[in-house]
Amino acid sequence: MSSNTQANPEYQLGEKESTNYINASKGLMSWLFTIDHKRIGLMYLFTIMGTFALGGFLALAVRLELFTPGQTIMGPDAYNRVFTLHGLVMVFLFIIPGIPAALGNFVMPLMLGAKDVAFPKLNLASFHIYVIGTVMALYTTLDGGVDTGWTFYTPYSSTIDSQVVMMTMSAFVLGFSSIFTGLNFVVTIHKMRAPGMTWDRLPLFVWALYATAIIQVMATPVLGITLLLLAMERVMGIGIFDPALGGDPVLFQHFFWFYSHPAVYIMILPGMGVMSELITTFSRKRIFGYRAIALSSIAIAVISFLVWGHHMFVSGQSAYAGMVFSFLTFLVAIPSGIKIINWSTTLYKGAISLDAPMVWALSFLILFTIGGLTGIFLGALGTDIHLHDTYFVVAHFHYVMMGGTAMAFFGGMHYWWPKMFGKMYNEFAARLAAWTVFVGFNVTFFPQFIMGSRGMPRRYYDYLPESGYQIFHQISTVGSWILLLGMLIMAVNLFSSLKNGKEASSNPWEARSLEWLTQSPPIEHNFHEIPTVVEGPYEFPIATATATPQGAESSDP
Amino acid sequence: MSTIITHEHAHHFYDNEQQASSAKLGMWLFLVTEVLLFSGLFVAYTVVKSLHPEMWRVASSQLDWVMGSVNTLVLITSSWTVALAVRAAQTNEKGEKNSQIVGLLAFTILCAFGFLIVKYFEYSHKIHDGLLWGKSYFNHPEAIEHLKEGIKQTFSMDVTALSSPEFLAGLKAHTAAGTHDGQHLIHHYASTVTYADTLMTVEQGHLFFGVYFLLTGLHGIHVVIGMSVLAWVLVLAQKGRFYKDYYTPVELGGLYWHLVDLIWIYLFPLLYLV
Amino acid sequence: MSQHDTHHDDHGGHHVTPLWLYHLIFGGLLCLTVITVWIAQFDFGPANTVIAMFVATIKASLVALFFMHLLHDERLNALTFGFGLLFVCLFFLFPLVDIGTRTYIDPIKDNASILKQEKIVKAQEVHAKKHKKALGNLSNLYNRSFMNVAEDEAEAKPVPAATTEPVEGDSTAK
Repeated sequence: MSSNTQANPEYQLGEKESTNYINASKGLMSWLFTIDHKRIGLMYLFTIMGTFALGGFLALAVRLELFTPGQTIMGPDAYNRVFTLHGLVMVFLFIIPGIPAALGNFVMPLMLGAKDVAFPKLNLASFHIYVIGTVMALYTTLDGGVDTGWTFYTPYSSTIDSQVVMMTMSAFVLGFSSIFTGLNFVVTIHKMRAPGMTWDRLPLFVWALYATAIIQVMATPVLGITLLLLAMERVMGIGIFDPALGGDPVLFQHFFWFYSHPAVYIMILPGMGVMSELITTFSRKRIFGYRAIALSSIAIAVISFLVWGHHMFVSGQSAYAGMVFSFLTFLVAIPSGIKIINWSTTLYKGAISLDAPMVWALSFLILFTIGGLTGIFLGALGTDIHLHDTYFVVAHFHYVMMGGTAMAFFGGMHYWWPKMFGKMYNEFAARLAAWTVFVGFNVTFFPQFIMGSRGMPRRYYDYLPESGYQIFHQISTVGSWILLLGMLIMAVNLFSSLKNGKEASSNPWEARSLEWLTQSPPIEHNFHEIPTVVEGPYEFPIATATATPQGAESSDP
Repeated sequence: MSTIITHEHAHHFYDNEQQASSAKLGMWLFLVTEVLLFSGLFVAYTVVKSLHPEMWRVASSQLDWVMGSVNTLVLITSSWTVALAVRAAQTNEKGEKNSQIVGLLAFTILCAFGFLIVKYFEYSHKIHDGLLWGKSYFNHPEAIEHLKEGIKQTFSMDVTALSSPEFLAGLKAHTAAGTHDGQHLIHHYASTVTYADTLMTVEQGHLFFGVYFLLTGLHGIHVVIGMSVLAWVLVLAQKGRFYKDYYTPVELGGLYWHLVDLIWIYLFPLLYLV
Repeated sequence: MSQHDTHHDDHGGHHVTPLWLYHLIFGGLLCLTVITVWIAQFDFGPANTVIAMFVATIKASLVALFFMHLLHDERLNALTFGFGLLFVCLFFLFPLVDIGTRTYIDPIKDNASILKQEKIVKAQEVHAKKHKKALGNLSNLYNRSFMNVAEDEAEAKPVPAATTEPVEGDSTAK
């Protein structure tokens, strides 16, 4: 058994093949209609970078508007549209597909030792649908946009005169893309594992993607029917959500959060998966509590469906439902806590190297912990009455979504960048970007906790000069500029590496999972021979020795 | 002598077995998403019904249970024939059962057509009576008359007398008396008041028909999709593609069709009978 | 050699259900349809829905287990479907818990007038049980007619005449 743990040394040291998945075929069509999961992953990656930039600029506009009381750069109607679009773009176009569809698509089949996902054509369809949905959303934006907030609450959204139907249809279409990705991943993970790749040898990123995919499959259809009902409400006057017609507007919130609460775990779970990879690789230590982390992903997926009512404590839902939801909400803290503690324990006495991906990972660890703990405040019924719809909530979910998921996304991007393109970026610039973003993030969002707890409502266009909020808004806005600076450094660094970066070896981080077994960038069909897996993904040898991936490419005994 | 075309699995699978089993798992996951999609409408049904139970009873009695039952029988039959088609493909050794598969699929599609035709008559009846969703409901005053008629039959009472101002004044006096006196006056007028109450809810009748059209409409769309899928499978079957080692499209098409049936099995009693 | 957990299940994908079983299930489904239509003639009150759903669930189980082969298929498929149904249950559970308990009084705001009202409601319920058939949905009715008709002139509007626009009638009442 132990003789098989080494990857074929000739392959490791041997010269790179000149053909890889990037240059195997040429022309725009060979990309747009490819069924190669790696190419689809890259197309997702670049589209998502674009949507992130769009959402980011909208956020900058919001922050700039709030720099002074009264009108700064736009009027209230424009402001409402801008923050709504910021939410919609970031949620539906960036975070939800971000890690699973871009990084997951690229890495997951490699990690399993598979040649592709189970349904490559469905994978391509998922990308096409994503693009169609994005185009619809952008068209709606240009056509006046919507000002309902990304939550589309009725009866406002069913009565207001704006492009709600078009926008909901775009989210409906994007939902299909998400479902197809999730469905594909579940089947791939069940059926496409290489010989020897048992469930307890799966990299934790795969486990996280599996949990994510379950939520995508189970929750997204409900988003579909919710948005369909909202559209029907506007088009046909169905009245299910309209009190004037005998319906119940709170029911819409139930429908909406049945999807959208689990959806926040669609956003964070893959980030947690990336974390598990980064933390172990860069502390050169076996992960602490593999099984606990793996199962806590599944636990989070299931519990996420039990807690949606904590978004509705002040909506007029019954007091009893509120109590039940509040209690269940605290349950989520358990699996999340398990993960945080296990990562910290993995770091303990590890041989930590602060490479750029690790800086992102440590940012995640700190920011997600803050975001998670402030979530407990919001889950408590009494505290939430005070904090509901204030900047405290805004700060909380930005700490979790951006401080968590986005940090993991960028960390993962830096981690797998050499694998994707075969190029190393400038390490110093990458670390600088990561630290700048970390600082900028905190400067932006920490003041929001303070002004939120003092009562500054979210989504408001204006505040009184004498309210004392201005200084916090100004710090926050300055922070957003630091964030922008960090992002720019990162973008310039990554893109210039494509031209000027030095060649990456097949395993630059000396990581253990299977994607590092094949060359960088990988060959068209991932592996010459399907590897046989003989041990877990985190069996690092003593700190100084060279690690090799968890399987050998030769399947001969 | 063989009339079958041997199936080659896709490059990223090890073998046919892995491919078939992956496809089937994928199909089941897809069916789960369909179930959850419909569950949204069923939840809406349950909640709205619990908000307006009297109206619901009256409005649902406007549906034609005979047509609903006929459609149930049609769908169950089609489910049975498509199951037999899958079996024929499973046991198709050398292509000798190709025509059997084709025949059974054709019959299934025929049933689907039948279902849609019955649905067409049902819809046109409702449209004629103005028993429609929100906006259109209020554009058709005759719809409310229909419901009032329904209420009259349910309670076997006279409509006009009870909507008169005299009656309401009397009712008001007596219920006001109830504040001091307790229950028996209320009891005395209870059934008449329930009746009046129900009459007042006719305005909400559109909710039932809204849900009815959404549920049956979405189901109808699935019937059409199912028909198209089965038609495509039928064409492949005609070419002799399916035999005992490869019948995934028949099986998956069949699963989809069964799901259409499954949803109708719940939809039928909820809308037509309860 | 390969590690697919359900790859070569004993029953595999090749289990062939005997013809007579298909016919039997078909017959059963027809019978159950007739039964559910027949039972619907009788009024069991709220139990109507329960009975109808019970029959429908038997029918659906027959279709899923035999026509869709869940009984003899890879267990994973049945598990997937079951898992989906679990989430459907959750989807029903919480909104209904909310709607069902929304009229209950917030325990924190407990005061004398509320206690009094609770007493009245309780008395009504006892009464309603005695005269269930005659009264129909009394507790609902009582609250509405009693509170609104007696105290609030505007709410006790007459039944809208068929010729007037009902939407307008509704909005003026608000």
